[in-house]
Amino acid sequence: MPVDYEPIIGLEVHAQLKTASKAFCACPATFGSRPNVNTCPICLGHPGALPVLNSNLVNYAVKMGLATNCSIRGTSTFSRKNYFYPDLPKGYQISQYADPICHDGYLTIETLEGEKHVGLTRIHMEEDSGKSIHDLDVDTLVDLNRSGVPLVEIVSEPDIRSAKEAYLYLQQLRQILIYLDICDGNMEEGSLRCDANISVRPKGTAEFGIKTEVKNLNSFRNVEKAIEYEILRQIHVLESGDTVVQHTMMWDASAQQTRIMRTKEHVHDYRYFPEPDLVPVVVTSNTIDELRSELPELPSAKKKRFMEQYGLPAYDSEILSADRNLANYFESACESLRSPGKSSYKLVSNWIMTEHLRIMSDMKISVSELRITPKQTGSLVDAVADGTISNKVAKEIFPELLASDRTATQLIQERGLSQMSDEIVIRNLVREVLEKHADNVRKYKQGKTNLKGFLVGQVIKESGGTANPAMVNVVMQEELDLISMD
Amino acid sequence: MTSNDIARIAELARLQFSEEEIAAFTNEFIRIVDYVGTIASLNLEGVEPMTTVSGAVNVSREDVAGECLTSEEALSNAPRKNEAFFKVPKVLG
Ligand SMILES: [Zn+2]
Repeated sequence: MPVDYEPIIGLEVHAQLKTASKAFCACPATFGSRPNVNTCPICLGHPGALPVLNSNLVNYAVKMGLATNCSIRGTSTFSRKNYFYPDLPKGYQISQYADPICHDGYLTIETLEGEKHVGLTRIHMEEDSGKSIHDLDVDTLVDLNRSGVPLVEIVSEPDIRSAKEAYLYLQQLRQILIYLDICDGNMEEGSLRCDANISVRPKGTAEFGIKTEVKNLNSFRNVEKAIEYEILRQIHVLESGDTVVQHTMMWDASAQQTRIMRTKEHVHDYRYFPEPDLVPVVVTSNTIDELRSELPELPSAKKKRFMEQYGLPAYDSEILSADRNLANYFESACESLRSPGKSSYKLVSNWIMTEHLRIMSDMKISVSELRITPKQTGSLVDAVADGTISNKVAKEIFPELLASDRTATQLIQERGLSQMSDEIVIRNLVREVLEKHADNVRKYKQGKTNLKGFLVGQVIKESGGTANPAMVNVVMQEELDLISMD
Repeated sequence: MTSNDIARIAELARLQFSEEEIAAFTNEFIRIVDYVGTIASLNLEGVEPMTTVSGAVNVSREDVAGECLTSEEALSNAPRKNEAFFKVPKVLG
């Protein structure tokens, strides 16, 4: 019988924090500048320069811990992680070791089998290294703008059992970081980085297999694919009677495979020791309460609220709450509605999920860059809901709303687009009138054709006197012709 | 502590020593480690590790960006550089 294997996966995620200044000096933590312009003696690692802790590094780390159900350590310290690399000018990275600021948390992911907790071992504070550029043949170039930029490292328990679960976990972690406004979550640009520890074991056994670490997972797609590949590779190794070797691998996206990184043969020995230049960080329960009160509503809570408050399906709620700004957009559009109610809320959601998201992805823009405001969106839904225009006309004027700052109502008036030139709305009115006046219709069919004028008049009356009589006439004739009287 | 340990420590520190130097360091290291090792004879139950001597906590600054060096200044002490970067011998990517 073939052995069924179970993957054991843990993720280490580095998130670059959106602070104004670096972790231990006042250099700007922003990029896009020319190389080596955001540096000072501290982040250049000059002898004698002393680090001073950025208070937001602590605040952001604690917020992330609170948002992921972690315990916050009352007193935690910094340590030096020692290794040599050209983009690490001090020869050590300031990090945390035995007493990370946050520990023992969890995230809840929604798998096909239901909700699942993924444990968080720890979240600790550290600083980023600089950047090495290896493009040249002869030399490596070093840019230290990034040196000392604050990071949190978020380490999961080995609770993840598939590439899909890893994806879901990472996605949620990213959502939370963005919701907290502490990291921009951009994997391609390296502000969110993910390494995966992967092993497989025969299902039912308690012992973990030998693991490999896969690095360079710089997109969500790569995370999923690399993990899938590595699981199959390890199973293949075991099935061939070999043993998995504990390597550091990297994902080669162009070859679509993991390969062994060229490293020195000895394992790293970081010789951690307490950082003598920084004093302990004490987080009081008052500070924790204060930071907790600053937490926004998190994506999972928002999703639940959208389902209850707006009566949206889980699918809509999930998509809208995935992006805090999109969720805010939806809520302001709903708030602007003249006729609020669950059916209108669903219409707002439909518009956003089809038209708005399509435009955002086509034009590669964020919701804040959309050239249609929540109020305009609300006005469009109102116009459809109260029968001023049909959904078809609404779709037609949508591109014009995008390019203007008028509301749908204004545009409809300016362009004379009200329902009276809207065939679908007129046809509905005609049908209503024909149903209401069934006896007159019968008389019409029996030869009293002058009753048509009466029926047209009824339609115009129903429309509040604004219907285009010629159009009503045409539609009326068509509808009357459709009615058979046998 | 053996000469292998010393060779390993030297390697981690990117230092090169002759056989004789390593032998000499081995003896010195053994003496140092023995000396520090006397702490192991104490009963340290319930004693927290001391990471700093001052007793100060929470020394931090506001998150405000300040002045930096110019890139010329930043690069001025570099043994090898070009107009924008530090240059180091080729490192494997
Ligand atoms: Zn600096």
